[in-house]
Amino acid sequence: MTGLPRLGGLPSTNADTRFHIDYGWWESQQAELRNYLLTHISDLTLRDRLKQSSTERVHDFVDPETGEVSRLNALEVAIKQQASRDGFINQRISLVDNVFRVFLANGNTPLSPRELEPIVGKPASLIHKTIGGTTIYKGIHAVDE
Amino acid sequence: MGRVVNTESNGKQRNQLRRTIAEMLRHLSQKSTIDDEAKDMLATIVLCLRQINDGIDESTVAWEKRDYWLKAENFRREWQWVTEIESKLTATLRTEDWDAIPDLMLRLFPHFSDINVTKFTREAEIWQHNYFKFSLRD
Repeated sequence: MTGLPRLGGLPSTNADTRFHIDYGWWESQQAELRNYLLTHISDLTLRDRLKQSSTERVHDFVDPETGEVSRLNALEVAIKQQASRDGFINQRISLVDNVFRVFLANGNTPLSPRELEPIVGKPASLIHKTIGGTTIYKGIHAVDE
Repeated sequence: MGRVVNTESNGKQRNQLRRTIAEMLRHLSQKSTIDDEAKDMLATIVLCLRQINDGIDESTVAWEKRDYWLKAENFRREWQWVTEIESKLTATLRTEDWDAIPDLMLRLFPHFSDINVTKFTREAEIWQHNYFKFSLRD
């Protein structure tokens, strides 16, 4: 896909451009990523416990839908469990946080603002304005295609 | 024509609700046990937090419509703690897990440290029977 370059050399995006979490964006700020991920744990007691937990210790996590087993740390397991619950994506958190949660829940499968619209309950134009601008929020970035 | 949302009056209402919560916290901090009055006060905090949330919803939707989406984003993030603590407090009241109350109060205090309660301005009728009302609804 070609497009007019925007300021900063970023490709132009539209409501059909697919986005995802670019973990490379977080590479130099792992502590911030961990702190940010913790904010997606709605159970405050569990969040406090996870703050203290080691990032090194890993657990086997069995995906309830696919049966696939993965090795995850305690925070990653908690995020997976939160993501499968109703209300993980809701109208009472910021749009950027909601979009981030969609990608946490779907295994970071790229989605366009138009595809995100029915999931986050906001117009595709608003989603695009928010995540498709020159500023990258929380590593949500257009997929290089 | 859609309803015009006055975001300024939402702010005023939010301040009044915050004042009520601050006074509830002050009363609660002087109690040594969770008696019926304390339950009413805790339920009052839940009801106030829910009203604060409703006002935040109205303000953010209004700003999004006016294309102030960044302002709406930041505002939503600034007040995210309201939903988090309200959910936790609601669950605590439902399960009557009174041991969890001191921890929740500690979480609430920093959000109200700017309100100086030198004199109580809220009468008992503000909180009376709120635990019963909460129990009926939840």
